[in-house]
Amino acid sequence: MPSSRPLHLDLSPLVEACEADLRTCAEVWHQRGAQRFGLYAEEKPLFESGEESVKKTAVMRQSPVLLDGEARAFVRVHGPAKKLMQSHLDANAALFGRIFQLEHDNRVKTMYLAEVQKRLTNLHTFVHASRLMHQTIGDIISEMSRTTLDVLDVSGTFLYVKLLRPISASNHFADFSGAQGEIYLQQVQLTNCPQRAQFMPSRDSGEELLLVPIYVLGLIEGVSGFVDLPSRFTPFYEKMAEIMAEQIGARIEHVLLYDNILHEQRLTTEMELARQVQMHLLPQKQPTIPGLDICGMTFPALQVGGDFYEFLVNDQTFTFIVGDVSGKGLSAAMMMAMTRAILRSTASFAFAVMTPEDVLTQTNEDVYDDYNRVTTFTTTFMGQYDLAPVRDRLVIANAGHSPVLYCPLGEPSRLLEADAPPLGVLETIGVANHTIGFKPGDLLIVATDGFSEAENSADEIFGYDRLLELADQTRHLSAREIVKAFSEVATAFEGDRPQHDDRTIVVIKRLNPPDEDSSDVTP
Amino acid sequence: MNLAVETLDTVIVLKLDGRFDAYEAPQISAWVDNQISPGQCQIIADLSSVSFIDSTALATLVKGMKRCRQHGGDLYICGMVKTVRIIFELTRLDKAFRIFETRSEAVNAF
Repeated sequence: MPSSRPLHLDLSPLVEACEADLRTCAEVWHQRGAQRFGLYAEEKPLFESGEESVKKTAVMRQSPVLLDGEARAFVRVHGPAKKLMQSHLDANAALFGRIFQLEHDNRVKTMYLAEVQKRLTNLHTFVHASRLMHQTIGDIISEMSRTTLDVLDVSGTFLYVKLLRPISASNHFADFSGAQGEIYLQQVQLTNCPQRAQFMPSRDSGEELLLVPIYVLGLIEGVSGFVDLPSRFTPFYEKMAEIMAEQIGARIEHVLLYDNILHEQRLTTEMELARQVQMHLLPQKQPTIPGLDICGMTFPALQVGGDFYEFLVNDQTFTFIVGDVSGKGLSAAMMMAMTRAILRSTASFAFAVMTPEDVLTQTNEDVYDDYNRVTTFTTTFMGQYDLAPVRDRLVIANAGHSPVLYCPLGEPSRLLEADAPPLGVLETIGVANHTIGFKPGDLLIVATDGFSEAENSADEIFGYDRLLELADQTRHLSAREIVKAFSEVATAFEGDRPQHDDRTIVVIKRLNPPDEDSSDVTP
Repeated sequence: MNLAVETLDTVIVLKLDGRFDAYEAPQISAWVDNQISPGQCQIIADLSSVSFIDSTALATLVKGMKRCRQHGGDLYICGMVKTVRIIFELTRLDKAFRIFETRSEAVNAF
């Protein structure tokens, strides 16, 4: 964009540039008898040649030098009247007028080219600034405001962005005092951000304010202001201002999106860490108990959940626990870690035999206040198998946990209902021990609702009936194979639908004694 | 899922419908947080049109029940369909809540 500021026409440098031509011309006049030759502007000599004082008989002739149609100087000669041809002098004046005009135009064009080059450099800086990453919106505002000023070469620019509260404005007024800048800013804040580019007169200087809205994600979130003389605001200028405001908006959008991505990545990393911690809290290997085939596994969903299971072995008993904290995410994971720790320490109490009922009752008392505050609960199933002496039974207690599938040899599988609500619901839980037969060939599958509530694309739930059927179909397999089959069938049932909850399953199978036929049992 | 709130004297009836799961629970949870107060703590959750309920939804009802009891009131449940009732029975949450066949029975129990 060419500058429309008038370039002051100063003759001195032009005369200096053409001094050799003036001297040649003067010599010709001196050869013809002229005593003095000169160029004058406003009665001051710009160039003079010849004698300081001229003879009394000498005459003076002069001719105007026209620039842009105006007489800006005169060429004068002094000498004998008959030697000085006015027509020659007029020709000289016309020639110098033309030379000066060309020199002047040349200078204007050179300056214009230099200015264009400067603008291009500034535009490059502006575009480059808009590509810098790791910037805050504050950085962008001050950077963009400064480079905008350079690109458009206006008296002042400022940026005001609502996104940074309470106030975020950057003033870059080239020729204005800070106080003047504050006045402009107040004007903008009073009128709110404009819907489209608009002009506003300034208070007392003769300048105008061009306000261009800044759109961020489709909403007007700020304004870019350009301060200058009204005559400077050409349509081209306006267009440039709009383009720059658009670029600033796009840049702010990038930063917001970039920040969002960073934030999400941070959350994902934290969730991943929580997930890893949670997985490390689960048993790292399957216990080896004579006469039992045991397998426990958790198949995590994308989001951290609150499933857990635990195996505890001492001289007298083998104890297993399966639990599920209601809800998902970090809060469920934290409650899971706490509940698991309390269950474990209660169950491992060294000075007395703690039955499942004792452990669940004690744990409920310990966690109730905390669960009340965070309003969640944990379903927990606990089973105990006597090791010395071995008995054909399991002692179980169930605080609100399902599904628990019991498959006695030769009978169809059935669901075991809880006899108390989950931990954390009632202050007095009222859970009790129950004894179920656990003879060779008997099987117990304790899963979490991630299995029963697996959902397919037709919004159907896997449900308890399918689980019972699956237990009957797989009961001849080893514990590990049963776990694998349950997981595969649930995953296949979901099809394209993502697994929305953790799935945990513990399979305990009573093996046939070694002296009996164990063809249907894999130890 | 829709949430319709009806007031009968001092009793507020929450009529829920469709699936009541982890995706729908937050709006009920927010209602519990904002609405239950000492003067508004007799609530009936009418589940007659709820076809499915998951553990997050159950936790939300437990939360509502606890809030009401803290203020001297209670949260009753009425009108459970069979599939929902099975879940309450399996988890023994039917022991934690007072459950009624019909809405009027629940209202009269307050």
